[in-house]
Amino acid sequence: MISKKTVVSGTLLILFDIFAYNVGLYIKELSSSPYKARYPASLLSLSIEHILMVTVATLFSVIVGVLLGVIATRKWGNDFLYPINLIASVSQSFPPVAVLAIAVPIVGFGSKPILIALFAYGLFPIIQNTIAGIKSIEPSIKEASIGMGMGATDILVKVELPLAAGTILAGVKTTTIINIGVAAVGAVVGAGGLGAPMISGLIDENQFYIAYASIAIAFLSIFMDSLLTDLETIVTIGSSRKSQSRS
Amino acid sequence: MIKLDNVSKSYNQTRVIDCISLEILKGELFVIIGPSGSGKTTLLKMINKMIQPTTGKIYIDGVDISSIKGELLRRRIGYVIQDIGLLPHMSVKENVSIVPKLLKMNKKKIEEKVVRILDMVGLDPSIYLNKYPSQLSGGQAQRVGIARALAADAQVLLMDEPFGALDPITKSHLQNQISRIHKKLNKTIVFVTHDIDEAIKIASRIAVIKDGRLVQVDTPKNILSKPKNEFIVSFLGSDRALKKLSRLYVKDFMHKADRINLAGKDLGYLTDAVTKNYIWITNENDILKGWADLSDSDQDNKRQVSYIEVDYKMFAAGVDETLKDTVSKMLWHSSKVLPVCKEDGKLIGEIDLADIITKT
Repeated sequence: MISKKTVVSGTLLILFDIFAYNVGLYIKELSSSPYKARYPASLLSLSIEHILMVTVATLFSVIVGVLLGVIATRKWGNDFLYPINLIASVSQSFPPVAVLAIAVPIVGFGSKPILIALFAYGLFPIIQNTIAGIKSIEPSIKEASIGMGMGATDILVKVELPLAAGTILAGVKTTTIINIGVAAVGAVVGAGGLGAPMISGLIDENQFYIAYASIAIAFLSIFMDSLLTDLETIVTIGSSRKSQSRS
Repeated sequence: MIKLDNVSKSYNQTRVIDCISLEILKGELFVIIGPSGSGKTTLLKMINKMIQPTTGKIYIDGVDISSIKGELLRRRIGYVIQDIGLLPHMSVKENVSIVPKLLKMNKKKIEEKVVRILDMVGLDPSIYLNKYPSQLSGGQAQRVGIARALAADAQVLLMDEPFGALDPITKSHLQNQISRIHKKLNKTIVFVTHDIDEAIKIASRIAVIKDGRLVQVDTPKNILSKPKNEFIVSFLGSDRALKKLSRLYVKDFMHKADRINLAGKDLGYLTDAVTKNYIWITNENDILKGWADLSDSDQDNKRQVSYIEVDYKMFAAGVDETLKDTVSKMLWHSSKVLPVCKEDGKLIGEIDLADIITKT
């Protein structure tokens, strides 16, 4: 169930990635600008690099975030609720650039420091939404599950996670969209992605590079947002039924 | 079947259940009733180990349940709650197959079973099998809830105010259904409610509890006729005599009725045989048509009368009707005697208010 919006934004992204340099060269001729109109790397490969970076970081955020969220909502994990919330909000309050500054001396240049920064930055919405999603399940559903003889694992896997999936995915979407923007900063420590033309454009005052990168990032954000919304619709077909009133 | 031996439960020094001992027999529909906060739900939840007693022991089929793992015990005990708790992301079929799946039953067997059980609770499997909980009405959802509890062939069913949130008509339907299922499958059912009418209607025995203590355990009839103390009297309400009638049936109180069979003819002359001051009139198929008032006619041997036509559906008592409904009909029609008809209108007897008053 891929929506029209996803198809259109995806197509626009690819078309822009392929033809942006041609348009740039044309504009350069008209304006006789002294700057280079063609960035050394292809926009398509930079976009893919960007998506990969964001996806890998978000994936780690999801694994750790959902795990922490699940722990915080266990009966035995109630004591962890406060510290987990604390970690999440602290990691959110650190600017990613500051995380880069700390991470580079430890793990060196490249994509590692930005992955760490993105991971930490994206944790908060996922933890929050996992906790909110699980806590919003009607108590009667849990009581019936226990009463039927489901074990703790069964209840988590067959009841809690499926019913919280929609809310968790909303958190993943927020994280992904934030991370697409933040990932551009990674270029300062040599992480590549669409941040690279942007940074070199800023250094050289080359408007062409800045325009390529920012337009591509914008298309990328719209595309990912739409794609995740589609996924959310598919996943929540079941759990959205709970919100319909039963009378 | 289920035995509670000196069971108590305390939460921080507050005793919610105080030394309750009782035995529930196999095949009983045992109702636990009490005002809110009396501990009835706590008591019920101790039977499937959702709550652990502070002291005392509970036995099911002679086995101390503290020696059984809670989850395994609960898979063998059906559980129905007021809020139903169907899993919204699963279809009716998936909801009903949860426990059989937990018990690792054969897949094909589960499917057959789900169809059979939906049928039994009054839901057409071809319509409801693939519906989702949000597409069901409250009554339908609770039927699925009952089906889910029955799906794994549990011998014991625990029901916690299962019909508390339903409208009166649906409630009455489901009460009848659970009585039928109870008789048909011979399950032991422990049923918690605060509705005394419900308890009297369906129970084989009733346990009244108050402040965590047992007040009286007896059959509905005995509780109504011999309430142990003031509390039970007030709990039963001032209409307990009428309530008692809701467990008594017309068929046990009716007797033969005199009639004149019209057999297509006009009403003619009566014979000496008629000793009462009224007589039922039936048609050639013995269907009730009306009654003749003989009180005003002269005392000649042959009296000519006309008769008052009635609709048996409105006027007559049914064989399986409760006396409560019948007395209500008597009041409505201002009549001390009512004819008793089968569903098709065939006159089979009559019931007299005097009998109800003296024999109950």
